[in-house]
Parts: sequence; C-alpha cells; structure tokens
Amino acid sequence: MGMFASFNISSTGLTAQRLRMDLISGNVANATTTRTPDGGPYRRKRAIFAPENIRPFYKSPLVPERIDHGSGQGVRVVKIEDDGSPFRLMYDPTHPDAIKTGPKMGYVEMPNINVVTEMTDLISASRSYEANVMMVNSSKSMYMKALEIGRTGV
Amino acid sequence: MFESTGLMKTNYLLEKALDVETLRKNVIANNIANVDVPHFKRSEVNFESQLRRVIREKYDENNRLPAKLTDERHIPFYVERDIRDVRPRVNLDYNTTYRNDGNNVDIEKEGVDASKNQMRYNAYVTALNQNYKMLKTAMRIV
Repeated sequence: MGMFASFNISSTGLTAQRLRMDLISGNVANATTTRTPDGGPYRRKRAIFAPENIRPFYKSPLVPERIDHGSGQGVRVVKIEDDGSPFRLMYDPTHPDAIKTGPKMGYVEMPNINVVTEMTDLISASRSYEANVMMVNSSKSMYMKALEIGRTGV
Repeated sequence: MFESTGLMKTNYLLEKALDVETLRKNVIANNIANVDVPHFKRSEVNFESQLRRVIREKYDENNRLPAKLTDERHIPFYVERDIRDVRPRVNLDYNTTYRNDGNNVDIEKEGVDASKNQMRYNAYVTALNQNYKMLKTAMRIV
C-alpha cells in the first residue's frame, strides 16, 4: 500500500468492468454463431469477480493489530466462465448446421445469448466503470490538494 | 521545539486526520471496485467517534464510567488514554444486504462519502496551512 493505493484499487475496478464489457461485446457479436472450434454453437461467456486479497482478521481485542482487515486491494477476475444454460432452438431445415436425425430434426441450435440481457449487463458495467472513474478523479484532486500542504504564502 | 504547545497538538491531530482520510479514500475505492461482486460486504473507517470519546472522557469527569474502588490496588474503569494512541479502524458492515446477490454496496452512498471525504481533506489541508502560519507568526514575535 503506497501513496497511490486508491488509484491502484480503482484501476482494478476499471480493468474488471472493461473486461466485462469486452465479454458482452463478444457475446452480442456471436449471437448467431453456430460453429465453433470446440464444436456446437457459441456459448455465452461471463466474468466471475472476487475481492482481491483481504487480510484475515479477528473480532478480538486480544490481537489489536489484526482487529481490522485493512482497506482491501480492489477486485480480481477469478475466471471467465461459459454459461451452461441450454441452447436456443430455431427451426430451419435448410441450415447447414441443422440437426439431421432424431426428434429435433430440422432444428438449429443457436447460442444461449439473449441480447436484452446483454444490453442490461452492458448498462450495469458502464455505470460501474463510471463510478470507478469518479473515484480516480476524486483521488486525483485529493492528492493535488495535498501538494498545497506547507505552501502558506508569506 | 514546540512539542508541548497547543499548536503542535493541532498539527499532530490534523496530520492524523489527513492519514485517516487517505485510508477512508482507499476503503471507498475498494467498495466501489467491488460493486459487482456477489456476497461482498462493504467496509467503513471508524476514527472520529473513538477520538471524540477519548477527548470527552479526558476533559469531563461526568462522561467516565464510574467505578467504586474500595482498595487502592483496584483497577479503575477509566484509563487515561493519549489522543495519539487513537487509531482508525476498518469495520466490515457484515449484517446488512442491499441487493439480491448479497452485496451491500450502495453506489450513491459511496459517491457521497467520497465527496465528503474530499471536502474534509481540503478543510484539513487549509487548517494545517493556517496552523503553520500561526507558528510562523509566533516565531516572529521576538
């Protein structure tokens, strides 16, 4: 935790929200992709976040230096996970990826992406991004003010 | 040179207050960075109320918890504490929930806290500079 800790913390938030927006763009762009290298249609991707490195702490006055957990160090992207929900089925027997046999014959498996969900997620991500930007600006003006310490004039 | 003077005490307290505001800024930044993490609980800094209690107990006997001592070896409830020993504490707000995912960061509240924090920081810097000016004046008297 140096002098610029609050910048570092806010920047983890910015990175995480930016990654989330990237994943949403990927999902929307692939909303109708029926072929992937792994076979099958594209699966929706989402980021899993966790707080970064919170110190263990005890609620006991016997260990006074461990009674609080410090300020924390921001947020961390744990992994990018594939959404396991079932694929959307669309009836189109002329599609080259249509299912050839079985009870689902003639249907095409489409990615499990709902564009409306993606848009609401996008709004949420961009608002969180803005909140982090606001924090960076606020920290900046605080440090600028700190530079005035001792500049008393006269 | 001025350690025992009131000006230096003010100076010390203001320095401490600036440190606390910096810590508070980090905590708020951390809360905002974790706004989308399920089950994350926000933290807050507790310093002013502890300081107020120490100062009150020190200068006003009515605010002390009375203890009847029947022997001189008994330990009184009130132990005089130096204001310099008051430390900021980061407390986890673990028993509230604000959203369905178990997170309790209210982005509006954090935003307002951030601006309050900044205003206080500015005020402390101004007061500190004023204090330096007074020290300067005091040195010029002789």
